[in-house]
Parts: sequence; C-alpha cells; structure tokens
Amino acid sequence: MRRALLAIAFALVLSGCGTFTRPVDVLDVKRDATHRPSYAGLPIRSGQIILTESPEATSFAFALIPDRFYNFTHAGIVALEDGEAWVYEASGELATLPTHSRLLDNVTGAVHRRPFFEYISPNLYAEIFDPPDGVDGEKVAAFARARFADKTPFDAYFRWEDHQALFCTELVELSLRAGGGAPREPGGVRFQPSLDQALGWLGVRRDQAFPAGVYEDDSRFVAALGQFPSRVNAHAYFAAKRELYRRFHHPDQRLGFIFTMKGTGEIHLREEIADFVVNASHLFDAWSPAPEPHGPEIIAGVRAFADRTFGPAPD
Amino acid sequence: MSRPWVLTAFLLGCAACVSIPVGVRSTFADAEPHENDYLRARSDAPSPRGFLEQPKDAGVDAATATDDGGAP
Repeated sequence: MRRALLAIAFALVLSGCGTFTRPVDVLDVKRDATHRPSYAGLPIRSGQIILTESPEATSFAFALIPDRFYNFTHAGIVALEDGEAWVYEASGELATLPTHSRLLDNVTGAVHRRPFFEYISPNLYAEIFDPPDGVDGEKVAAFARARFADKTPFDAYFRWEDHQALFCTELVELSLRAGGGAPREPGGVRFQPSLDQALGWLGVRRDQAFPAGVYEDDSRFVAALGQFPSRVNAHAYFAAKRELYRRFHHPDQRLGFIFTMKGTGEIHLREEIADFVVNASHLFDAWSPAPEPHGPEIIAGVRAFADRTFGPAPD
Repeated sequence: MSRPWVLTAFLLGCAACVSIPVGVRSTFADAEPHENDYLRARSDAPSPRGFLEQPKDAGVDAATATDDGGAP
C-alpha cells in the first residue's frame, strides 16, 4: 500500500500536479532525558532544523549541483509557539502563466510560517535535528520569525552575498548565526558541461552552492516523518539519488537523460528514472532485521541495482 | 462570455513565453541511440523484489546482488 502511495506521488508530480497533501507518519523519534515529548509526542524545541525532500523533479536537479552528493533539498527552522509547532522557511513558486522571458523572474516567494504537519505533508520525507551545541534555539527561531514578519522575499537566484532576499539555507544559516552558531560558508560546485549550460541560462551562480544536506548530522537526529514506510526506505531513496549524481557527472551525460523540459521551462523526471528511484527505495523491504538507515550496504546495494537497471558506469 | 478572455490570456501568455535558447533545449533533449547514456534503462531491468539477499552475518562485505549486477 505504501509503495502504491509513493508511486502515485511520483505519478502526480510527473503529470504536473505537484501540490497535494497526504497523511504524515512518524517513522522514528529520539527519546531520552533531554528529548521529552513537547508536541504531538515529538521532542520539538525552538531552533531545531528541519530538512525535507520533495517529490518534485527540481529536488533531483538541485542535488546535481554541489561538488559532492547531499541528502535532502530544502531546509527550515522549527519554532514552538504557545504549544504549537511551526516551520519558518524561504521558498518560491513558478508562475502558472509566465510573463518574463527569464525563467527565474517568474518565481515569486517569501519567508513563510507554516503549521508543522501541514508543512511536512506535501513532502516525501523530513528529518529534524537539534542545532549545534551552544546555539540558543530561541534566538534562532526569533531571527526566522522576524524575517517572516518583515516579509523578506525569496531569492530565486541563490545570491548568498545579498541578504535582502533569502533562499532556504540562507535563512537557516543566518538564523543559526543569530543564535550564536559558528558560521558556515557556501561550498563548491562540481563542473558538468550540460549542467553548467543550464545554470548559465538560469543566471544563478555557477561557482558556489549551499545545499540543505550540510545540516544533516545523525548525532543530532531528533525525528523522522513522511510518506516512506521507514527510514531505511527513505535512505535507500537517497542512495538512488546519489547513484544518479555519480552517473550524471561524466562529461558526456546530458540533463535530458534524467529530465524532460516543457516550453514553460518546467522540468519533470523521466519515467524510467522515477521507476528506478521508487524501486530502489524498496530493495531492503524483506530484510529482517533491517539495515541501519546510514548502513553502507544501502549505498552498495542500490549501486548494484543501478548496474543491473542501467548497465555499469565508471566512477 | 468568458471565452474571449481565456483566449486573450492564453495568447498573452504565449507572447511573453519563457525564452529557452536552442542550446538549452538541446541539452534537455532525449538521448540519441548513439549517445553514451549511463541512465538509459535496459529492457530487462530487474525487479527490486528479491534482488538483494540479506547476508547471514550483517555487514557490507557479505551483501551481494543475486545476479550479475556485481557484488557491491
């Protein structure tokens, strides 16, 4: 049943219907003396970082850009306010009817404040992490809240050097710094000719990236939620994306091998790629006990599955 | 009554359509048969069910694929 739901999610996205909500399951929760339930049975605290994975094709495109592979494609800040949990995050949407010739000029957005479960629901998966030691979570949340209050716009061009408009990890990074966190700078981009051509057309920076996954730290894991049956399914899915990243970065590969593009500039995953990702997420369903979510057999097993699905590809 | 407005909106939308250079359209084009495509699914792509046997002793060295996909 769960597999059917995930397949339907991909089918809906492939058909261009990307916004819909589904029930959210809690898949894993950390419980100890410092992680007591505070909201819906979860140890939610202000200043925690929430990383999400959307079912949209853009999440696969973002993953190709950095100089190494990262899980997750979007990040936000959790806040507990009067007993209710909220997520502050910076995001934008492409206009249904584009009126500008430059694609990203048709993207509008802002810093949003969304109810916790409502925010997670359209996503495939989410994990929550404590902020680094010594960071004041209330100050982190206060910074994000202030950017929502002053209606800070979304930065579709991902300009780290300009904080007048914010992209998702820019909001998270500046919030953590406001709470006393050590600064983190953008990382590098791995050059690939086809990707470089697309980034040049979009007008985004081609020399730096700030992926959401830089904030994934399993030692600070708090909870996992989403549409997958388990964390293992979710991390097998990430391993499939990692394998696409590995295969794509050969210089003779093209974006058309992974995506199709409409006249509006919207991209969609090719059906065989979506099939591979969904199938890979189920490779370990019969294992008992299940492997650890970060177990090396997941990446190795998915790579073997890719070799049989697509044929071998050198490193 | 509303149809002329729908048509007008559609035509305006097309007139202001996103500009996509030929080179970008080409890089998103379907793979040609002669291209070295590491992401083209084989006609005999396997099912995930039973593809990986669980090792008797947990550990990556013991995880093996059940066909010629190669040991991880």
